[in-house]
Amino acid sequence: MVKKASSSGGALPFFVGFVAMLFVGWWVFPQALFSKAEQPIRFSHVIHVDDGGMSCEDCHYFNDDGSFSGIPNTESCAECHSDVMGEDPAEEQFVNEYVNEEKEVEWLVYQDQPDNVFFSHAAHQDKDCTTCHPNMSENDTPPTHYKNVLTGYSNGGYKIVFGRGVGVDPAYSRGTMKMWECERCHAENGQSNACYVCHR
Amino acid sequence: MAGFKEFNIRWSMVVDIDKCTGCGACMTACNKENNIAPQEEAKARLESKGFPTRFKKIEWLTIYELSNGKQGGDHDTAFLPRPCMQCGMPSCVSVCPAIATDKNEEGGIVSQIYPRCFGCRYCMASCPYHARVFNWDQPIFPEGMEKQLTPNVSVRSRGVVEKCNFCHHRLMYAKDAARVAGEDPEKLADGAYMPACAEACPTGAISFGDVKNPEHEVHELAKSPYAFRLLERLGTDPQVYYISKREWVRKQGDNYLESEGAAAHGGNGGGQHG
Amino acid sequence: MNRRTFLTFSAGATAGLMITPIPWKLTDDASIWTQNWQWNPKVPKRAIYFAEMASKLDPSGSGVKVAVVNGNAVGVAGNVDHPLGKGAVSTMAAAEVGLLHSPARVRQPMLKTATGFKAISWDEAETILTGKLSEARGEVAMVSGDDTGSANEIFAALVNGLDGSFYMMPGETQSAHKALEMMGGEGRIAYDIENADYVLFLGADALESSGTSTRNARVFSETHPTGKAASAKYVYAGPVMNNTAVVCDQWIQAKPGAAATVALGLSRILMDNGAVANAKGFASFKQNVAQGYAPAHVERETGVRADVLKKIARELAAAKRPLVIAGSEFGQGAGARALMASLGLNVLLGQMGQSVKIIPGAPAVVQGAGSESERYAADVIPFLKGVAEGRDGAKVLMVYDANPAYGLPQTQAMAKAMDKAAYTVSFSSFMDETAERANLIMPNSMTAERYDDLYTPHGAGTATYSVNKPLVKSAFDTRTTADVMLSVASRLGMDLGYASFKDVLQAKATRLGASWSSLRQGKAWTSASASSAQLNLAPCAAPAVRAIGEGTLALAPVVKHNIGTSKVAMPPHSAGSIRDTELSGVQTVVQMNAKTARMSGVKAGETVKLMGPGGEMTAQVYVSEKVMTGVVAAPLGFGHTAWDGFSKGVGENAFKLLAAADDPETGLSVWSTNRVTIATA
Repeated sequence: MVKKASSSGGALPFFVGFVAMLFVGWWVFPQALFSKAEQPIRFSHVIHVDDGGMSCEDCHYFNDDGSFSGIPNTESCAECHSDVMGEDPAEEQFVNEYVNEEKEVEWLVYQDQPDNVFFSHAAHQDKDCTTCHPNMSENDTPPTHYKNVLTGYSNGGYKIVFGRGVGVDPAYSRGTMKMWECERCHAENGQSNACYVCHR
Repeated sequence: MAGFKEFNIRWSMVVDIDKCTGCGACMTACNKENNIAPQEEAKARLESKGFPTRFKKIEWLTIYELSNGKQGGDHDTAFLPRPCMQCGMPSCVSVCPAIATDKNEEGGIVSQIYPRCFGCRYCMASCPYHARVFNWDQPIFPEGMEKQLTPNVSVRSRGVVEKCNFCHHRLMYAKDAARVAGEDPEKLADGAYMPACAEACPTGAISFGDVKNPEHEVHELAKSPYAFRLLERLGTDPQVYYISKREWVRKQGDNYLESEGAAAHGGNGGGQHG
Repeated sequence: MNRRTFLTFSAGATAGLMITPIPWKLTDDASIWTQNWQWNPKVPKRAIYFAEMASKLDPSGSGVKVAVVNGNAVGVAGNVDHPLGKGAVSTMAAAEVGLLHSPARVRQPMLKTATGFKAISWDEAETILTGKLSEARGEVAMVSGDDTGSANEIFAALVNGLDGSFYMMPGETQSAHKALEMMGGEGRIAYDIENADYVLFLGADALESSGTSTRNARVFSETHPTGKAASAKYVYAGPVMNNTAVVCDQWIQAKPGAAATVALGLSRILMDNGAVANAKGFASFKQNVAQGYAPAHVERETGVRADVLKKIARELAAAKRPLVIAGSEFGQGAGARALMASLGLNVLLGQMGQSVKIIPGAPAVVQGAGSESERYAADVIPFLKGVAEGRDGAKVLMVYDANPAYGLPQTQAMAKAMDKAAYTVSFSSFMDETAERANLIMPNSMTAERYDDLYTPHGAGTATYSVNKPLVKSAFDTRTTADVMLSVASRLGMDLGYASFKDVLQAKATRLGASWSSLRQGKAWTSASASSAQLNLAPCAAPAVRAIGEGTLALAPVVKHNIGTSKVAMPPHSAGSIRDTELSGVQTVVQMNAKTARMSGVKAGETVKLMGPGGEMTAQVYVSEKVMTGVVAAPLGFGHTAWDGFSKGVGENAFKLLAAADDPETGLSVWSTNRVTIATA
């Protein structure tokens, strides 16, 4: 019996199982849990900000009624891009497929919240945009959109790490926030956490 | 009874029953605003399942027809629109095992968080106003109509309870407008926040505002000698007030004995008979 | 590998698992998954923008704001700046946006074949229509139900160019044109209800289905401030405590169709008390009224007690700005008599040019369209009866914005006319009863999808003009009928002078002196101009129209816009607001009071058969004191045989009971005084 025990390799199977599961859990599982998608158009914030000289508020502004314009629609884009202006193939694709067809681009939103969440940009206007959003102004190619296949939540355009993004202030994921993230910030800032403050 | 928080703002509706024609514009506006799925052959389908209609229709606002019960020339009719009362002492909140419904936000609107609800329907049983409805079926929008959903309100699934919330999203919009205009979102002007029903009503039967704010019209209206609240003596302290110059209408607002006169004024809280 | 190795491996894997995200992340995500209901339709996340529109489906023409998200119309809000909407959203305006994706919409041009409808292209449809029209020259007819649009000018010009006949659907606007014509006036009747301190509605359901009801309701609201004393008295006289009567300060029970007789009875009392009018034809009017219409006679005829009549006359005489608005209880079938009698009464009260004004009609901008009153001159009822009986030939019958196969008296005959006409073309946006019978359907775009205009509905206070532009893309392959007809006209080689309907609207704006750019933004134009022409009172005292049918009970049809109009079936979003007292299951509910039920030998909840001069229907009885004795009230709007699951087969159509009678004096058919017999089914 003693002999048999030594022949089974002692702690080796334990170690193999341990390492194999770590590999599955930290490498395979994320690949399976998140679907990857690219934006339908390679939109470059850098070109618009640096070369185009535009400011963030040219596209992302508050309406008089307090609503936030969010992502501009094709009609707004077509104010400049009624025809192809540059040589970028992405722009040509945009003009041909969306402006000329009068179609809206199905942009993938990195911070998309579920339907039952009411988020007010106006209430958060004293916060820096990058508290919740990645700093898009430095973005030449939009990051890959990782979407959790189970919840539909996105990971904020960062590499798949659970809960938070890599290289990001670990407090906020900058993806689809979970309720505890909203609640914690509200609590820290002395804001109400009543249900209807965020839900609808 | 466990106390509920007192708020500095008390969003209130004052319904002038003498001005309601029963036209239903408020209900249609409500249905569209709040993404309530239209119900094909609603009545026939519901009745064939053997349930009383009022328990099976999905509607947040119902108009009741009142009659003084007299015949011939003495007869009189009134229409009474009934949203959620947003009670100061909401019995639905006390009984909810999931804290899916709560009264915890400034303004006193009773919240209902749909994904949190698991459909036990205790709240429906406890609500003396039948203000809550249950989704017996998955909401089905005719093809293409789902493109016309408003961004205001999430679509509820089968198996949860829903109710009127005074178009709470409009409060959020009004606050946002105030913020962008540099005003105080907690001191909205009269009329800045108006539920869809109150806005639609052609005869202006529904007034809306903060009953605690002297600058809002409802502040005075709620003190009218003709004002009353539904089933006031239960002590639920509703935030919906009714006005009628007709005593028989006021008497039907609560369970009065033959010999009693109707409440002269609705502002005196409940519980005298408790 | 043996068992022990495997167990050790598993233990290692389990230990490893605990420090991977798998169990923790999966638990968390699974709980979120249960709350996110991915099987539910998702709501859009974009900001809401509002665009102004004047509702064409709402007969009161109320202006509203349409909420647009991402190019889709998602809701309706009030527009305080619109003179006919005044910030309110009427039932039909509220429902209009929800109808854009109604299952009943016709999705593309359709051609009837032996096996049913077949989808065709617009080019094919226009080619077919052009061919049919050129063959049928001289025997072309068109019926339009659009009382406020300039599209009629294009249609009339086209039909006139083909030597055809053009008809407007009967209703209050036609009655008003006829009444004015007979009294020597021209234009539109305007009621200045805003400044009236005493308003008497004779039959006209003016807060729900008659005239500019949305605006009237808002004025009612202003004069009856919540919690304060009213600044005006509103009185309703009619057989049913309808939506108007229920909020009026007083309801006077009067038999269906009694408006003219009551107005003349009031005139008689006023004249007996010395009222005079410095108007053409006054002597003849006074003489004719004096010969009949004594209070006792009026009481016998209408059920309005003589003492009540006298009291109302006193109150009218004492008021500073009294206003009498008369009409049919259900918006059609009163002919011209009710209006003429009420105009006579208003003149006697010194209110012509005050509470009641004659304002100019819409100026014509299309050559060959004729004037507005010419377009309203012909009565469509005898024409359709003739077609049904094979007397009148109509090689091509076109129907625009109307549903004559459903919403007219003698419904079966009207529907038969659609079958009998050699070729029927429907321009309906919806698969209604008329479209279903048509050989060709060329679906019109809906209000939010098309250019259109709205000029002064009947009973507005001043002349108003609104222009609609497409706010959203057409949900389906539909086109604006006015543009289609301009194209057909050019295919026929006719030049109507315009390339597009938009140009017609622009020309109209210019003719009115309105700013096109502000109209285009949705701002309504108004004009205070009124005619000072004197009306001739002589024809106002025409003899009463006899009751139609031999039944024991008078029939009072009731219109409620949440049930639908004569054009539009119950909108999906209104279905919940139908009351148990209007519909029980899928059975129409008719109402009568306890005394009438006793007299007729029927009980509450019983299924009965109503037999009228036009046809029969079954219904359930609801006993309500909201109906006067001797009257049975039936809701209009149910009993559709086409449309969609929301309205098809729900209840029965009360229009079937009605029959129209000729009124040679005015030349318009009347059907507001039908009688029915009731029997337990």
